[in-house]
Amino acid sequence: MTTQQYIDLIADVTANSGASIVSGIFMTLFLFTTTLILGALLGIRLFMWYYNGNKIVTSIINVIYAYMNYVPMSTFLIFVFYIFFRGNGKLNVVAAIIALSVIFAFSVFYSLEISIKSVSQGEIEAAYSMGYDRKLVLKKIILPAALPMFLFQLRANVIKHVQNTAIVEIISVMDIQMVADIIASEGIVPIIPIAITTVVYILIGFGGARLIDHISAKINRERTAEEQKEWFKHGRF
Amino acid sequence: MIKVEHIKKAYGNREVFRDLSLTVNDGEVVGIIGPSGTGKSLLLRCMIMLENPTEGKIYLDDEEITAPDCNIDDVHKRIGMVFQNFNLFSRMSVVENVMSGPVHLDNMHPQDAYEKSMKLLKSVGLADKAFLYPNKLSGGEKQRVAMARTLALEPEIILMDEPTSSLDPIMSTEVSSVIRMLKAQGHTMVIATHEMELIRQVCTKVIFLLDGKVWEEGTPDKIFDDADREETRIFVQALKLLEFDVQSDDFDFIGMQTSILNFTYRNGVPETVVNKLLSISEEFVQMIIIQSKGSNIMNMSFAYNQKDGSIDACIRFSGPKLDPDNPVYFFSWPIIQMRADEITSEEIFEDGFTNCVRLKLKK
Repeated sequence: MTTQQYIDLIADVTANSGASIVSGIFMTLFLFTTTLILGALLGIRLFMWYYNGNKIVTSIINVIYAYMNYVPMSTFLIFVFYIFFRGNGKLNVVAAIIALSVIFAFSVFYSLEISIKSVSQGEIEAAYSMGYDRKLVLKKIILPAALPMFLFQLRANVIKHVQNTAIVEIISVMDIQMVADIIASEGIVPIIPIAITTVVYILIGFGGARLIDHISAKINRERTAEEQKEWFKHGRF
Repeated sequence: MIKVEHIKKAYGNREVFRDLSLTVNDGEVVGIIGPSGTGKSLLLRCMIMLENPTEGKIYLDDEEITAPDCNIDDVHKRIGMVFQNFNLFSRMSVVENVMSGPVHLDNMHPQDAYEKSMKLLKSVGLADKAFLYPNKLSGGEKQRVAMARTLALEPEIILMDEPTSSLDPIMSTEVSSVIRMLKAQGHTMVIATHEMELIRQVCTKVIFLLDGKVWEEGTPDKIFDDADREETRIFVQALKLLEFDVQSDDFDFIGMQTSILNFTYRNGVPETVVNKLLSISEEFVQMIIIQSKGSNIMNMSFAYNQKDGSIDACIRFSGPKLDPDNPVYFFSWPIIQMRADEITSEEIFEDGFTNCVRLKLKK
């Protein structure tokens, strides 16, 4: 490239950068808002099915939940583009909305599950003993008690969601869609490495989580009287 | 009326109830006693159908509540339960806790429910704390709120699972007052408790549970003073007995004083006797254990006589022969002699003890 060509390129990018930035911000806000609302609604709906104990739905949710936990978002995006929108480049934003909504839905689901499990069993039992039915217990006792913890977790989830829908992610979404189109045009064979990668991610994530659980159990256990005396003897506290 | 017929309850291979039957008639106040693990709490939970019996039937008036087609939510509205750990709704204020049943279950207007709840809170002495949240209350106050919350639904029967066992003697007094008030109002109640004094004051019938069934039942005087069966007598006697083994100066002396206070409160021991007991136990600990820097050992047992309100104490200890001129006993022994109404001492040689002092503390 000559110097003049380089200067012309920079001038061209600078002239169009304002429009690009506005367009990018609009897309980010649109994706963020849409997927936040859809994801929250979906997450709550999934949780209600899970809470009501429908065995088939619960099993499906558990499988998807495990997948969402360990597989990177970009890999999930490729799957969505490949499975639902193979070959149709015009629907990349729709695919992004679906993928990001599902990701946020499961973060909402997980937060609800943890928050609700933290509610005192005694309060729940007292409500049942008074005559509350299952739905009323959830609505009037469990959810209000779980709300503070849920909101605390939701805050972190929303921040993460902002990151997921950032302009950089939008750019990579288009690239990912392009990759998915290429893969789709080659048939089923190219998906095998992606599937293997997915399994590897799940194994690494699962193994990592187990390692942390193991370390946590070692650190968090209560020390015996002998161990404590030994610590004090050696000046540890 | 609630009628339990031949219920069995098993968890896997472990059978808790083998064949348990009892009846609670309208207006009765029934006390349930028995050793720990015998199923007192479980019985109450079965009666309110928080747990399903493995076999047998339970009737509320003429309705079989163990039937599969029975509406459990309706049953729960007719039977109220007060839990050992209060179980107040942490996100609701005191008055909201009491209002929750009438508003959510009886569809009462919140303003009407509020007025009703304030009357109930006033009756349990907590109207001035209506807008506080449970984490600001003492244990006794929480339990009184729990009782008011149960009363708000106007249940036909009130079940109480060890209502005072999580409380110290002062808080227990507050709650016991409310229970006496409920009895005076004619409420039907079933109370699982170890508090003999409470049972004597409020219960019309006492049921002793053992080995998965009703071992004996009768009036409080009958069960506590003249039980027919030996196991009942042994259990009741154990409730009236308090014992400590002191093996070193690491012993929890403060815990001992608390145990003495709880024991005397549960048995309704007169205050003068309680003061004497606290004083002499402290002097014996000082004299035998602390002065010897833990080289002596001691066993103290205190038995309460319901009939005359006195305590018989037997203190066995090791160390030199008991002699008031011996410097070891010089300071504490005169105080002990002053506090005890009757006192005898003798030398013994058993289990490592060399002295035995028996005292009687009268009111």
